Amino acid sequence: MNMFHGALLSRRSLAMLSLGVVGLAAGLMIGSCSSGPLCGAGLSRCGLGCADFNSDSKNCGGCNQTCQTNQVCQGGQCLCRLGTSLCGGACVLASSDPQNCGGCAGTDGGVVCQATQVCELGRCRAQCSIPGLTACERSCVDVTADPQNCGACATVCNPDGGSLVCDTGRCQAQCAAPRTDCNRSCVNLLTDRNNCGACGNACDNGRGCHGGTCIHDLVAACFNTGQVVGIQRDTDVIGPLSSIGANPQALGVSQNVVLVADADRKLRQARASDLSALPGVTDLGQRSGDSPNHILVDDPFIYVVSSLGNTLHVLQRGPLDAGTGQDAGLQLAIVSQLNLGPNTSPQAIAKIGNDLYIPLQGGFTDVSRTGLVHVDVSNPSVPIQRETISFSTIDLRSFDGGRTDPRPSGIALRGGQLYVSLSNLNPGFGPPGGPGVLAKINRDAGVATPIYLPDTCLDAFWVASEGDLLFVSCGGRVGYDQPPPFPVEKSGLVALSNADQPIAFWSASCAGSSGCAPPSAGRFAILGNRLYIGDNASGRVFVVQLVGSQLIEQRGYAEGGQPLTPCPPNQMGFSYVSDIISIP
Amino acid sequence: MRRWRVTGRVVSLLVGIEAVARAEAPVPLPPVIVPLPAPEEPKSPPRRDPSGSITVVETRENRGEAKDAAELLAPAPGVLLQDQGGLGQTKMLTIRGASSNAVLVFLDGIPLNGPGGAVDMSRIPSAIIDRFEVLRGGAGARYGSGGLGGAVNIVTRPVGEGARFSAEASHGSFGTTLAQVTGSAEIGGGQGLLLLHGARSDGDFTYLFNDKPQLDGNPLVKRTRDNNQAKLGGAMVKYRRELPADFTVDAITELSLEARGLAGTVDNPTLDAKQSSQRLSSSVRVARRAPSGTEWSGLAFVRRDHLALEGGYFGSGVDQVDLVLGGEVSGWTLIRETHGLSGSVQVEGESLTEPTQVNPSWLRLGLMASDEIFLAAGKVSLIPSLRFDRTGHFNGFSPKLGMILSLPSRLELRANIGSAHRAPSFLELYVAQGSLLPNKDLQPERAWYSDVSLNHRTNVSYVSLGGFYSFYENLISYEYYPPRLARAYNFNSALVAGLEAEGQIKPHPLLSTLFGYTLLFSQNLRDDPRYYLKELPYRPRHRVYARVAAGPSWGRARVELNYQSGHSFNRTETLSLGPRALINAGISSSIFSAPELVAALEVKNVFNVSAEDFNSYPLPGRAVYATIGVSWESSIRKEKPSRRRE
Repeated sequence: MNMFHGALLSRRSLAMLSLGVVGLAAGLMIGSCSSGPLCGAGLSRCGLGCADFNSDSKNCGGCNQTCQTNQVCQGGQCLCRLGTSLCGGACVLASSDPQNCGGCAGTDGGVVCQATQVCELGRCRAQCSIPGLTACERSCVDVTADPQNCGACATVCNPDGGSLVCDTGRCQAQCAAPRTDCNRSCVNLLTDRNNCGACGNACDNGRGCHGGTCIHDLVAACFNTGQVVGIQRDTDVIGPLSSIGANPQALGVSQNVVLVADADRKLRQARASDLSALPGVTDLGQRSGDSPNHILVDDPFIYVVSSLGNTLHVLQRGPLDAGTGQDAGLQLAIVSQLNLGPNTSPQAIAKIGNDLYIPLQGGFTDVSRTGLVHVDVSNPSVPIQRETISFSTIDLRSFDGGRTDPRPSGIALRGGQLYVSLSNLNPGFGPPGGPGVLAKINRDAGVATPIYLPDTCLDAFWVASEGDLLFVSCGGRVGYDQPPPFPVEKSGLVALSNADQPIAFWSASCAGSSGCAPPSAGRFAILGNRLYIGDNASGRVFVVQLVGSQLIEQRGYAEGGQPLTPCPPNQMGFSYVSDIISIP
Repeated sequence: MRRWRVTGRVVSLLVGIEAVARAEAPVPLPPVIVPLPAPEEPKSPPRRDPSGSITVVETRENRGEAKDAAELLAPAPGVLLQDQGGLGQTKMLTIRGASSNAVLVFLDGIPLNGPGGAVDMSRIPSAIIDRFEVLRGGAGARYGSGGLGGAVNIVTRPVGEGARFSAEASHGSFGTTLAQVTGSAEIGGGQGLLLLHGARSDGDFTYLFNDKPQLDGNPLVKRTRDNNQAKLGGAMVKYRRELPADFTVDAITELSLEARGLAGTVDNPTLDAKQSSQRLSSSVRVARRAPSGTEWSGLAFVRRDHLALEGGYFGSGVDQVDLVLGGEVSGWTLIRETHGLSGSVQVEGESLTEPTQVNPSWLRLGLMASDEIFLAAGKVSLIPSLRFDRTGHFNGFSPKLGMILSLPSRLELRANIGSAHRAPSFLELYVAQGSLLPNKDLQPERAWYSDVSLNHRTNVSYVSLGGFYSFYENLISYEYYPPRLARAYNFNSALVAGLEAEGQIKPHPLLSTLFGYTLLFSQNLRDDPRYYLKELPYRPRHRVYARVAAGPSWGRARVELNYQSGHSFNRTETLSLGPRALINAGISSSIFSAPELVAALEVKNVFNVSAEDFNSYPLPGRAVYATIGVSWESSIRKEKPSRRRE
């Protein structure tokens, strides 16, 4: 008998087979059915889109529940703008009203401040701390523009109903350029978030006024949920979440476009005004090792380092056409790529003149390539790798006398001087094995010298400068090997003077708050004298202000407060702020 | 030689074959016998799961081809081998889209799945393998916890009868040498076998590296894979004796040793990373097949697996010992010609000694009952079965209903529907592995599956076409954690469906063909817009294996195709590996008969294709191997009827 003899299919067998095929096909179709758009963490479905009920003024607490123009959406409720609260049917300045500080007295957590205290940003304080605000009747007000407190407390420009305006602290007949009269206050339409671009045009959704356009003052990246979120300076109002990319790792900004580098090795773009995704996605790599870690914008060039791909990408922005940056996104082209070598793991970028300096963290156990590499980008199309400054000459003061690895992670430029933060970890990216260290770089000599941070600072993580000051975040010793919430010790922020001396320290902690997961300070952004510190152990942002020689916690658990929580937890219940930047 | 018993469903292909057959009839083809395999062990899928989608891959025809265990498994549809590149380097096995730790692997019935749940197929020496029995689809009802995607039983080389001796040595590219010596003889009234094997490879193949992949026209750089060497060796001793009253005793001890470099990725090579392992397994099986047809079997086994890792991501070192001690009693009996009842009781204890000093241990209990109900004069078999497993503190039931329908024209329809579960592994639950953190709150994964296939068999061919549909839920994945870390959670679910086709056709004694095809659709059902309905990473939609061998024994040539389509390797489908087609070719010559001498030449990856199974882990380019072998057996052999249930 040959192989095909008598092999005709019977009708019955075909019927049975067809039944099976139909069953499987039906199963496939059922399984493939999508019941509508899915929304990321912290977002809820509204029709065919997703909205952040917590922060979206057009969908506040629910779909299509729009806040009034003098209100903002926070926590799913339409609240009176700028920290005012509806108390007894009236919007009171709960942010500055000492009788209803932080909310209506006796409800909503509001309190009546003590006679010696002022009310600032909803909290009773000994004195006003925000630059530009003055205590008047125990309220912190802007005496440069407040017609009720013009130039000084209780100086009313129009006690009898006149038309004087308050301009730079003086009652005037009209506002001097570039300020504009808006309801008797002289405001700068380019910067006033209540009158941005035009009188009465208030910036909602956690945005500030930049050049007459409402865009976010700060943007934070929520790694675990694939989102970015804006924050308004000073008021710390959080904007709606926006889903961008897979796992955003690094942020940058160019021409009012927020650049988001994610774990998919893409450089994505978002409109700075509302963080909505823009077209124009740049491929930063296809290999699994590529992991964009930091973005440096030096318009028209954009530099990106990929920590596991060991690469430096140089991108160039194309010419700006009308509307570019708002609708079409930036035209970015990769003009060059530099491979820094295996097991280098570049972490961050600083630029001096035509030179880039990039901390190299080194391989998991191979730390022979650890250092600070100098890359000449006088011709950005042909970056040239120069010398690598070693940290091996630094005494890392190992706690147990054994080996520790410097693991540089951040870099900052202050007064022409480079500083690199050294995590100083046990081998194999173990826990901190020595004190947090800053390496001060002598570029001419190619030598790094140590600046030892206070004992309260372990794992020096990120470093940035503002004026003469230098700030270093300390991740601390984190018990990642234990179930969450992780125990954390010796995390916080150090401020260093222009003499490289630590002058202030803020401790990242729960301050006794029950149910609080200990924070681990990560990347941070500086706006004036306020620092917004992302949390590596959760989706929180702590706000700290430098007042004199003290770092005062503005948003955190101290004095019974709460930090900002811009990043919601994912399905597993955790998140972390992978980057935070300020927008000029 | 291979035998194929697999389900299938692609009607058009089969109809096409039949149409061609009708058009060409009545041209007679010479009768060629497809040999039947050695007797099946009680744990063999063909016995334990009669309606299952099963492929039996026999390795005897591959002697002289310098193949490792993963390469030998390539013909099986539904199976995907993921190779980190080079002899002795990690090779993971997935079936029907399930993860490698959701596939059970047995060595003569001894479970090989280690503390992480997966089996590195590179640690299975090809020299000891007689055949693979691959059960595709949920295996929970018959094999217990862990078999979401399927189960593979590796049957070692039989002891044979009479005195035999064979030796084989291969040498070729990348400093690769393989050798094995086997002897068997009558000892103490039974048959004994001793097999020694060894292999080494420098693994220093070259590959093309693009150090600036985002720049168009950037020239590729030729690099050499460093720290990719491997040494393997071991021995196997088997003894079989038949006792009075139809009892048979089989004893097996297998020792495997290996040491390898762990090269790391092309971007971040780990030149100091090393792995070494030793596996010692031993079992005794007592079986009886009564004249009434009732069979029972008792198996006791122990397996000790020592794994040491150092350098690279393992820093100062990981040293762990997995010890498994267990036994199983199973039986089968026929009642009134209408019910084939079977059952088994399995008890295992497992302990892991590891550096974090958690040192977990647990007991596993499995109870299985099944009935094979013969209807319509045996043309229809309905096979309900149920298994209960307790793994540590996890309990799980795995039901299954199978059906076999005999159709006219030598056609057979098989269908299965059921559920299986997988208890989390020791590592997922308790043991940190570098940047991967455990989670003691994990729950078991579960699969719901169904398949249907149509099979056709003649004396010279076997063709199977089938489809499957599986839903995996509560899957355990590692979620990114704060910098550098990830932790295991139950948060994924996925749908996997597809078609499988395979066949073997021997139209002439001098010509044989073999093929396997898998079409696989997968969808991530995780409730997150970034991943929802995206394909699962590392799950190519198409995979094709084809082999043609022709010629007489003194000069037989062969060519193989191993193709898989491009696929993404991340959850958002934004990063992908391209398609690849690897061609192997070889020729072998067998001269003399006593002793028989065999010489073979094998060229792998003939066209020197650059490819990767895992991103950033290149596969070797073209390689050439020469093999010489000798075998001898005594002319005096006992003639005994083979034991087959068919």
